[in-house]
Amino acid sequence: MSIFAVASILGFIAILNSYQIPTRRLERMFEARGEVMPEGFTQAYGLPISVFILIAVAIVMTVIARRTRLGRYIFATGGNPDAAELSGINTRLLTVKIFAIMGVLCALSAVVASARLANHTNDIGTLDELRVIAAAVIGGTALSGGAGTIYGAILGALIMQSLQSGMAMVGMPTPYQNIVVGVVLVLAVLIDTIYRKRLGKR
Amino acid sequence: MTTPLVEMRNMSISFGGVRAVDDVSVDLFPGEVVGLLGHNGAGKSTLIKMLSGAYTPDSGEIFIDGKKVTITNPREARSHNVETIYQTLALADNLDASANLFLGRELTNAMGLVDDDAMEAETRKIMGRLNPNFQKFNAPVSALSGGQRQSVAIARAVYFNARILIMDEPTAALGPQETQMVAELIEQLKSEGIGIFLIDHDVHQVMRLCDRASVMKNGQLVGTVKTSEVTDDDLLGMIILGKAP
Repeated sequence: MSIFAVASILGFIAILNSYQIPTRRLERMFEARGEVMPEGFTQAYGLPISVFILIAVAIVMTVIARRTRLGRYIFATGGNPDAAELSGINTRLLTVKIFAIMGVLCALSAVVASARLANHTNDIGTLDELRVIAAAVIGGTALSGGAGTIYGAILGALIMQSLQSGMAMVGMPTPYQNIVVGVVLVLAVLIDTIYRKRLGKR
Repeated sequence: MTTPLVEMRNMSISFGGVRAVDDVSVDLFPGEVVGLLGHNGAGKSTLIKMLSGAYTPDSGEIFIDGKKVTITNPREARSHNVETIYQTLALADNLDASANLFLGRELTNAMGLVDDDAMEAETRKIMGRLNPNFQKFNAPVSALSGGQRQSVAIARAVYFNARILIMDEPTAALGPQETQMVAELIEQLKSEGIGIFLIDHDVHQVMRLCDRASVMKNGQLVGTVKTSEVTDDDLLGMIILGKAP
């Protein structure tokens, strides 16, 4: 039943996106760029590939985190590294694996980020790591380790990006935007620490 | 005389300038309980951690079933059927009881994914035997009481068919009833032919449960005695004075 519902929604979206953009709207888009639309030019709305990548990554990473030994070991090591080591987990190799996974995901995000722009310099994504940490912490990941979810991190990223886009829309200067992001990061970590201190050690 | 299950010969280890264990030899036969006694910091836990793979000895040899083995990490110790209940319990607080019980040895289904249902069913089975009052199967172990945590740690050591069991103060956090339960468990495991190293401070308990007792002081072995041949006071004398009776 749920598979049918998901398939029908995805199918509906696919059909909607494969419709052509009306000719008049295309003409206006070209005019806005100061160009003249070539005769007989058509264009579909297209599919948001980066969203599909996000969904695919989210599903794969959730399966890894919750249903594989690797994921179980990552959570165990985050909760108590000594216990994990004494339980026969090779925590040093595990750390290397975690960094490898992070590298792959970072490369993927770099591909998506660079594909969104026609051209860019090699400093694209500068300071994004702060936003990523803030997103993860807002999404419920413990900085001390051993707790967190993939969908939480995605929700956190959505909040951080909404903040960023909102500030850009109201025309806030870039330095102030960075300050706000930094303040949000510090606040998120502070609240996380206080919350876990109250919750955890009774 | 049969071959000892475990024989640790001339074990030594130093941390910085401190010689924590100095030329200590102990052995363990199948179906036997050997108590390790001594002051805090006498080197009991350190000695046993060399057998469980947490520490690598500076010198000394370990024989299991008469064969020389090298144990440099906990995985190798487990492959020789050495299971340990650590003083600190070594539980991952953020995971539930079954995840901790199977940590490092998860059950997987046909697709190679972790099979939580099967693990929980097995956990219910073993906990029903060890601690029938245990109900919190889905809570992280940080939410459990000291005794419940202890029973999770004991279940982990017992479940995987250990032949050599190391118990580092297994009753430290337990009430009288649970302590009695551990004592019965030790008797039962003993009758199954498992060799047990029992580290404990309670001389009476060691006298009651152990066949032999090895006493350590300042990293050195004071002596090994049969508990049937000495009195409580003899053992206390060995612990305090560091002299064999």
